[in-house]
Amino acid sequence: MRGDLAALLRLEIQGLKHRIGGLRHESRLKLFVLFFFGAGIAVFLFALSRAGFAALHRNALFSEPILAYLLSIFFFATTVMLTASSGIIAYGSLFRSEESSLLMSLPVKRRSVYTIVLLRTVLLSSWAFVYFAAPLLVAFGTARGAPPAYFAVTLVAMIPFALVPAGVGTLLALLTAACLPRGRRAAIVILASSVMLLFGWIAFGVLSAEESGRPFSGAWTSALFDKIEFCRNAFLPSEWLARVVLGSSRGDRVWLPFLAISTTALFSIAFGREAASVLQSGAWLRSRGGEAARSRVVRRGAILAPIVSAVFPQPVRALVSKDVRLFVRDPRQYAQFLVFFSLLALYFANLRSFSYDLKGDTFVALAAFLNLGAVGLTLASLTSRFFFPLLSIETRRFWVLATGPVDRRDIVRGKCAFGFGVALVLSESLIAISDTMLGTPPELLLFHGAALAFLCVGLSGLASGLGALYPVPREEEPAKIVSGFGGTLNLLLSLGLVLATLLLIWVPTIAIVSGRRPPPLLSPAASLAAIGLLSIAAAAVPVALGTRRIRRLEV
Amino acid sequence: MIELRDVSKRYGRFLAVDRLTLRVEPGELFAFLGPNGAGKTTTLKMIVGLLRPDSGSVAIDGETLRDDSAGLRAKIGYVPDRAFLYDKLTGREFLRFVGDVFRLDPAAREGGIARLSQTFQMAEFLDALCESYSLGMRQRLSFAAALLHRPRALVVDEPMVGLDPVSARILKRALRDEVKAGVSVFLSTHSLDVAEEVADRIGILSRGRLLATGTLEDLRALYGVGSDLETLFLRAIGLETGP
Repeated sequence: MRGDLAALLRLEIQGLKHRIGGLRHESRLKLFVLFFFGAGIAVFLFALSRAGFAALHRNALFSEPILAYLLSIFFFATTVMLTASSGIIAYGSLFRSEESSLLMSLPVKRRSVYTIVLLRTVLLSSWAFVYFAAPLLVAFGTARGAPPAYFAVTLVAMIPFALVPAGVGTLLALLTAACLPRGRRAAIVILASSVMLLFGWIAFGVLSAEESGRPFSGAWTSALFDKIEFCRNAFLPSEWLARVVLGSSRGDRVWLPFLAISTTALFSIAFGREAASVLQSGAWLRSRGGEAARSRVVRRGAILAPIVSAVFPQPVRALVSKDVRLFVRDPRQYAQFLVFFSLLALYFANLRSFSYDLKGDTFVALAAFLNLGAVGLTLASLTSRFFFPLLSIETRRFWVLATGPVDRRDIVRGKCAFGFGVALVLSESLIAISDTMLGTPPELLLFHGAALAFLCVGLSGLASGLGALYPVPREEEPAKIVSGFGGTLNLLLSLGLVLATLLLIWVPTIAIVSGRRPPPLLSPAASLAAIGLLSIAAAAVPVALGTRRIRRLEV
Repeated sequence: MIELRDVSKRYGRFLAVDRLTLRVEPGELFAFLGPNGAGKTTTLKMIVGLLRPDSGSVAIDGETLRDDSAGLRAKIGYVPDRAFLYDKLTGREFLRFVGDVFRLDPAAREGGIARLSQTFQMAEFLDALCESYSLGMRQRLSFAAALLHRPRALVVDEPMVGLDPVSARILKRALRDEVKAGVSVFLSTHSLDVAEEVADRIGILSRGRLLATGTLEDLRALYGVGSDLETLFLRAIGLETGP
């Protein structure tokens, strides 16, 4: 390959080589810990999925039609989320990064810039999908007794499949910038609103299925499948992947859906490249405008920041106030989570439409427990994606922070306090909606609220502590910061903390809802004490290590 | 007063600063001249505490700078060569943030912002987001941030690179005003014109070693050149020999 794309690819490969080479300088313990936790989480996900499929089997739900629906819905939801995530990452890389200014000033073909951004976007947005979906699909294959070819075909098919939403997301980012001179704000709002509308439409379909009968009755299930039939549309790449997975698990040849995914991926890349050659320059210039929009952005956060930070002493107050302003004014950082949390809120607020509250103690306890799990896992993603990179980004401003009379411990504390505050407000609001709609006893709401507060301490401490322990000083792009060693370790530990918390919550939840007295060691108080100790340890150790690192950091 | 005593700094095998000893008195502007990689920025970062010397010590007003000397750092103002600002804050919010970090009371902080807004002619853009600033605006804001808490020592790294004549004039005037007010100013620059125009004393650094210090006249006498500072500089770092 010759030309500018080859030069850009060489640049990427060289950077990758240096990063991999840099691993030799990392401590063996660090690499071992990463591998150990990475493998541990994958094994846990495999075991969990295997248990889930076994439960479906026991309840006679492991039939092909139901599996086809489940796979289609899973891959459809994944496609939507990957498209939104790719759009946001690609927008930042194409129009807001310092590198984009450099590339646009060079005689590099616009389609080459687009291609390289697309490749990066695929890696940044899809690694988590591959990491989490692989154990699930392996568990699915083993549960179905699939032939060996299933595992190879399925894992290979995930590569072109990941390219499709990345291609669409990157193209959407380009089109948004090309059509909307207001820049980032409008782009983010449009992307987020589109995802919200889509999920809202799905949620509406699910909720209105309830009219067709008692939840989980035959009529209800049939009506529900009718409402979400669009997920199984034969023209959707997610449906093709579902067919690859299901077909290959039976030992069928699945060339047609596999080729359909691959050719669509190639087409989305080719189409995007051609669109970029026409639109990229104009879109980039438009994205530089938006002065009027900026003045509106200024107002955002100016009111909220002093209120939120008022509880802290100086200079932590100044640091938190500054972080609140930056957070509120940069939708790139929170748009995805706004979507996730809004969807959770929408779902929780409509729990009574499913009549879950009338389905008996065990079911209520299970629903409340799973809802808390969903909130915890979303929180873990939020702290990993947003709060972990904060300290790395801050190191570029150390000329003002570290040269002032600020104890560097306060910088870490400030990040921790900020992360805790945001996580607490979001999670407590959601769990309050969930438990109220389920009609759980007030003790359960208190118990869940206290457990979540501890979890917020743990997750925000982990994210800010590990963010300080493993800073990436010269990187401005949060998505790249979180994909490094520290970010990965933080994500894995955060997920581990959420899962450990859930394990400790299950028995007391059942006990509170059913009014039975659990063994003393599994009582709500004992469980809270254990969660508290675990969360405080999970926060204190990385914060202490991170603070020591940041105090000695030279920039 | 800024004082460096036998300060050295290594990056792996590379010796960036080699046993550097010098002193900048109150009310004096000391300009550090040197080619790229001479160790100027490393020296400045050690003065402000962003780097730790491998040996030797840095003192401000006679007090040695340590990792935990937060109070002492309040006496220092620092303007880096490339000041990264918070793009999503306005200039005024940024200055308020700096004032809070330095624990200024609100009245002093707002008074300082008003004073510096006038000094650096920032009124027109102070309420806009930093992401919309030009290089000159960013540099003026960085200066204002460094001076808001009225430091006793001001450390400035390459302040004039890329600036338009108006911004450059404003900054030079501000530097001289600080000197008049008794501040010790330590300035690193590539620009011989700037050094000639604003410095009371000049130091020439090459490969981490201080080759000479003195007033312009002292250096001219030392290297046997007339009025040409460029020849003097090249001769000092060994790239040109005498007649």
